[in-house]
Amino acid sequence: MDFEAPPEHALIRSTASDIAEEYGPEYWREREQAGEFAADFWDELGDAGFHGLLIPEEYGGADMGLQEMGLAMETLCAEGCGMAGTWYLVVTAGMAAVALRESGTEAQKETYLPDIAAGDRIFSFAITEPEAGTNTLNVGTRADRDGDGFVLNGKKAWITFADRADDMILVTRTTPKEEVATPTQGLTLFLVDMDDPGIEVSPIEKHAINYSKSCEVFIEDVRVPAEAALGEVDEGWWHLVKTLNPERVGFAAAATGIAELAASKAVDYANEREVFDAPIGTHQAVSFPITEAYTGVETARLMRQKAAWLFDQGEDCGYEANVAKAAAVEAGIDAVYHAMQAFGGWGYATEYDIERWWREINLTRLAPVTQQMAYNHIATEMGFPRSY
Amino acid sequence: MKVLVTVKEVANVADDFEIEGLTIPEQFLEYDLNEWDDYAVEAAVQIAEDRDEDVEVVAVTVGPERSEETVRMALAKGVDRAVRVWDDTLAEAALVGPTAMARVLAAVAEAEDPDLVLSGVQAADDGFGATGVALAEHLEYAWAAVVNDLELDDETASVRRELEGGVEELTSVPLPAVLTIQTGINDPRYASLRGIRQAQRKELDVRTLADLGLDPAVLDDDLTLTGLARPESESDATLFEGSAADTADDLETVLRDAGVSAE
Repeated sequence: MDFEAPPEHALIRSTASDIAEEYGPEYWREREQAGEFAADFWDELGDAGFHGLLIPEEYGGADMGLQEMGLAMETLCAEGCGMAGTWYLVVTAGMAAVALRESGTEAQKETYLPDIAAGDRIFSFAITEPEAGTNTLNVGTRADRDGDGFVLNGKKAWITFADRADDMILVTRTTPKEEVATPTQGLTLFLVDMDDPGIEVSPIEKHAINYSKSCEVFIEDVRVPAEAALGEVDEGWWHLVKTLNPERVGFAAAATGIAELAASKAVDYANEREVFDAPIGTHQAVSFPITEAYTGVETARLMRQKAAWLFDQGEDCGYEANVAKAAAVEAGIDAVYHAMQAFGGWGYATEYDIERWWREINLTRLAPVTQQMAYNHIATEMGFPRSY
Repeated sequence: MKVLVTVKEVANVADDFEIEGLTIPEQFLEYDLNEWDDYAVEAAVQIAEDRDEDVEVVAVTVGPERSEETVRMALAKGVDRAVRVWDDTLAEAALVGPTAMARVLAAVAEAEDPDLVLSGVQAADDGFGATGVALAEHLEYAWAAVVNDLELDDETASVRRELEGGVEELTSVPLPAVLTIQTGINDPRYASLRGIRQAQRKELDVRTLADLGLDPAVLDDDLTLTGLARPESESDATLFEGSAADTADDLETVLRDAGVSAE
């Protein structure tokens, strides 16, 4: 058992803090209100090497692990970026980079990884569907063999960055569920060019995180060559799973990071704001609820580090990633709730940002999986019968 | 070409701190790369990137093991290798003033034989602002202080120096030279994640005074630390609430008490 962080962690935190200082709350308030993609922030992450964090050095990356990705995301979130600190990294630099690194052919790695590392290529990752939700085994999007290639048809929902992505990793069913021994068989991932005329994208109006669009994606008769398959045909589930744990770790980092940001602003405010001749922070009715939630945030952070450490060792980390996600979200939402309360009426004013962080953190109880789906996984591991 | 850049880990003091004797306790301190040295590192790395010939950039620091974090930051930003000087004599010294510090740095510089030494104008914590120039004196190098623009050819550094009152001086300094670098000369880069990764593999030599051929007496200095105190606040403001008519008498009282009168 060793809690001593390697020396590069302090440097990662320093660089992430510098960037977050430059792209602080006021920047994100403006992007959110204007509904604008933060292209300059994206490019800054590219220049500083964050998009290549998980990519091997020979493809232009920093060859670091999920531990470091969690730390980078959490620091960006906590030091001023809010949800954007995870949001702009989790799909391309997190999931797509891991999928290509772990499952890609040499040609695929050479085509995509250097561009991702440089920040020159945006991916979307199309898993969820209107009918299947986050139960990925029920995907209805089909890939039918056609000569040397495949024809793709289907509909996806809540696909982040689909409006501006260059490429998409598409989760499809190549063999119907009825024809396979277990539902985890028969899925295949495909790399799809978003310029294909058979793809249509329609943004969904949403509650927050409007500095990026989340979309419905319609796929109609999109033909791809066999080489577009990412990993073996019909074995897509096992390739997909490798990306889902990094996604949960990313959202766990977002929840603790946003909570840290909101709590630190509430502490500042509670020290300055005086009512009844004393700073409101001296009243335990103000300080204790935030403090209690914060103890949960600290604990959840440790669980995320454990999950990421296991992932980096090549060990199974599904249980730990789900526990980390569920715990970080419960504690994080609680911390932001009480931080907002400390601001009184000003907690409702956009200029204080905390209402935005409240809207942002509420996504984490719904995505990448609902808290209930995370609890399903944990409950099964605990010995409860599988509920679906 | 070889460029030696001196870097220092400086202590930043928390808003509410206490003084114990001649020190500020650790719990009130946070450590960081000295801001001026960050600009010096950037200037050195830019020289290496801009010149056609091979340029080696070496960082030197005098500090405890903790300061390796600061040195790694310089390595992550593009410095090729680093030397850290530390031993019990340095650890036990109550104060290492600029003259003594310059003697230690000069020993490293003599071993490295650089064409150019870049140093920050001053350190953010003790603020002597003299180490770089003292180093030039020891090395018998030409020097220029408070440099805010730098152009280099094979034999000369053409520099712009910041003087008082907005005046700037253009000077040519023959190499080898020591330049003390002012903030604003460039835009220091982030340590990129790739740079952070590569920094872990770069050489970081640790040397003692003995390794450098220095006697502990090298630290003897006429300068001694005799006291540490928080300066008295001289900007207390008195705020009168109410209209001008209501508060004019209060203001008159304050002015009279302060010795201002209309007689």
